[in-house]
Amino acid sequence: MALQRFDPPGFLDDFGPAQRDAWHQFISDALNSAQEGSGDPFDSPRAQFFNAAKVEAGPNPAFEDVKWTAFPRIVQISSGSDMERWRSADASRDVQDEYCEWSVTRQSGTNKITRVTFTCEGPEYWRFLAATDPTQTLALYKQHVDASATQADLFTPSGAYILRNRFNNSTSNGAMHLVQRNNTLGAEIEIAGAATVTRLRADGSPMVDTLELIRCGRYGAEQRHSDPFIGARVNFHARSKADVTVANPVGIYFGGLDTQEWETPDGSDPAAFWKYTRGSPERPVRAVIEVPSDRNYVLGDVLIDGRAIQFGGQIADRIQMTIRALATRIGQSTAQPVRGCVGDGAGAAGGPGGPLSVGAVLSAGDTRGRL
Amino acid sequence: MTDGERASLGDPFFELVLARGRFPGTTAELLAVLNESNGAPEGLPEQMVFVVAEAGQIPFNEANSRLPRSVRYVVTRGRSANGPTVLVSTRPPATDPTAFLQVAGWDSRNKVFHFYERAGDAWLWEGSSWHAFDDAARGKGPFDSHVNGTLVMKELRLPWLHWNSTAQEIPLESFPPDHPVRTDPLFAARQSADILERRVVRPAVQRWTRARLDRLLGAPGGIAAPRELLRHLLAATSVNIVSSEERSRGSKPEFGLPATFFFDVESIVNQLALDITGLGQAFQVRRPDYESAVAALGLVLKRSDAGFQQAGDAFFAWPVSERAFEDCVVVGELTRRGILSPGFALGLLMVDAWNPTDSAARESLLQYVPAGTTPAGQIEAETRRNINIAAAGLPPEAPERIAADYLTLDEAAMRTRAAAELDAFVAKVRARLATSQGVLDFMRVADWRRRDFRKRKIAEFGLTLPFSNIDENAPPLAVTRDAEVVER
Repeated sequence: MALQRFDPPGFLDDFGPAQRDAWHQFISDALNSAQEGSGDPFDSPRAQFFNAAKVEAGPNPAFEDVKWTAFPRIVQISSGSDMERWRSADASRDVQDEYCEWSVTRQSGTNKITRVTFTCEGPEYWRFLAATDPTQTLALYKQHVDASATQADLFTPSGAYILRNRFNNSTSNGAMHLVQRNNTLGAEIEIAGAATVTRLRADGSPMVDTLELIRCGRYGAEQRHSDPFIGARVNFHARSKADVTVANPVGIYFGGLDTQEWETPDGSDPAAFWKYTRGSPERPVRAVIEVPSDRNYVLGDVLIDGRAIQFGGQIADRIQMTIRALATRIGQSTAQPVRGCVGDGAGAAGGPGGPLSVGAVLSAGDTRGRL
Repeated sequence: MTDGERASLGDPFFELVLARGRFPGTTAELLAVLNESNGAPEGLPEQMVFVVAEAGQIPFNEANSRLPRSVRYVVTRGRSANGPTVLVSTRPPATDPTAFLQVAGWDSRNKVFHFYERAGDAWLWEGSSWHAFDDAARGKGPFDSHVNGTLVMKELRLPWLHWNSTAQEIPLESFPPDHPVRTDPLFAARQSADILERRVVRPAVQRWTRARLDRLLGAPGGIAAPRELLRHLLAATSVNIVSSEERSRGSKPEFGLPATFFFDVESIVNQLALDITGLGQAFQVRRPDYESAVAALGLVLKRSDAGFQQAGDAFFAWPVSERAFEDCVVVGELTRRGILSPGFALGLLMVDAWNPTDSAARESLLQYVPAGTTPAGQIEAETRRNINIAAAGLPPEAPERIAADYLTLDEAAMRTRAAAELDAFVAKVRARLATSQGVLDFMRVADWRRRDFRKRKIAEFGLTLPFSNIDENAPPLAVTRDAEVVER
């Protein structure tokens, strides 16, 4: 039996019944679009990608949690030292492009870090929530970011939600959800879909190189840890002649924080300072790390590898991100590899690597009317 | 093994397996024995698998069918809160009783790693971390590669040259149709090497270094062999392998070389916090210059015993040795604990800083470190005094004079001078890398360091690094402070 309903990311319970139905449809539509592909003859249709709400996953599906490091690779490879890369990554949300963004709170006077908030919630969810329940949206900002947040901080006078509002546009004034332009649920779904296309090189040999695949399939950003690796893992399953999809609930999740070789002034376990504040325990989408107020020290007094925490990026180094892929009917697919790359075909319909319809659905701004 | 030695084994592999009278003959059996304890408080239910293969990026075909794929697994077991405490090194298939099977277990009670190996039907305890420094065991058994008594991951950093990683998967297509990895659940569960680096190896090196220093510094009378400790500062007890992020057959018109090829960024910038910025884009080469240099040196991956030869560089461009992370961590710990002042460490690292892994000049300063037991607080002072005495009357280019000149400065002045010298050096390197001759010269240095690496016992696999048309016994090369390349 096919999946009855896609759940919200992390099984979040912000939605009412109508919103949940709409979210299900939204994800299902996005998966359908990802299955259809861009229209390019070397990209469409994607026969090994499927929507689990339309097609039954089958018996004994294999799940894989694809994991990568939250610290942005693009910053890592363009920096010559730890200090340089931590400083760069903490400077702007726009470089935090591994589906994990963070905001740092510092102690006035000492400038020591007291708290770092991490989020991996896609913007689509928040645009939808804001469009359908502004009151709940404001309440969540007040709860998780700043109790002083007002309607005017989050919405334009005409009622449109401001994605990059003052409580969600920097690395120091709060982070409610992802805003870096490539950090979207749509991107995740599109990568998974596009990467199911197995390919042959011009000489007939199978295309297996992680970068070659992402360039040929034109999905994602090749300088990241995440996109090429997600694509490589999905393509691996596809080359194993499996059908592949993103497991319910579709989302990006925290896969854990490693606190080995952290030292606290009082010897307490720093893992206890890390709390998931949204999402289910198994599918967390928001995390906060801070030292309890009854201690006589703050997060900036904690050492990682002998160095005091001065940047959120030092913590991001230790965070794993994950999505869950589902592979089924392994060895049974009859889809044939494609000999060619997206954009190779003259006069191909559709634009390769263009924005996924998830974005189009939301940008249409009609979600309020659909409820 | 004596009863005392048995009593000293407190690692979970011993406690969960050997101490219970279990002597697994294969990896599969070993993991099954560990699984039996998964529900117990002492169990190690969390398993991760990492895969490395020097031939992992060479697609299988009939022409290279004799080439061994050299695939190995590292299987870790632990409890999530504590990180892995048992590491299994083996090769596929997991059911093969003839496959090598080695285990390192962290003994949290005695704060050492214990090293084991299966030999036929028996298991051998090959020693603990301390044996790496024992004259009778040094360089033997596991300590030929674990030279500092801790875990070793040669290709520790991005892009983790031959590991399965986010930078490049090891695809099944690299293996013959009948190769065991094609059906092996362990291979299917492989994770990215960045997790091995961050969650396993780096913490293990740091954990052991701290435990080692705790014990050495706690000894009555002082540190028994200060030179053993300062070797980590002045010499290269081991090396790691690093490379460009760019594929050797990639398409970027320009790409970066690893900064640690040029100087010890990890110790000087990361551990000692010398303020140098802009290193990330400092060492760019144009692809045509790189490819010309590869052709001029005739770089080739080869394994003569398998009749294999492939022209060109390794999968990722410019693989080369860098200062070992384990040395850099010791430098950081010694300064953090106040055994050495950061200025002292920096001053000595600035001697011939342009040759980070193979400086006879810097290593010659070891003779001025006290040889015998010395209170920790006196090591720096005695070394300073010895260097100053030796420097008198020597020419300015003598290592003793260079060190002494640095050590007369207060720390702020020393940092200013060191930063200025390194900035000037980086600028000269950058200028040379803008020329095809400069790229060729530095590739000759890389080639020399590869030849030097192959003399170390950790160089176990012929395909680790490319060979060149330069004789393996050609004279060593050095880089000058003016970024010129000279014979020593």
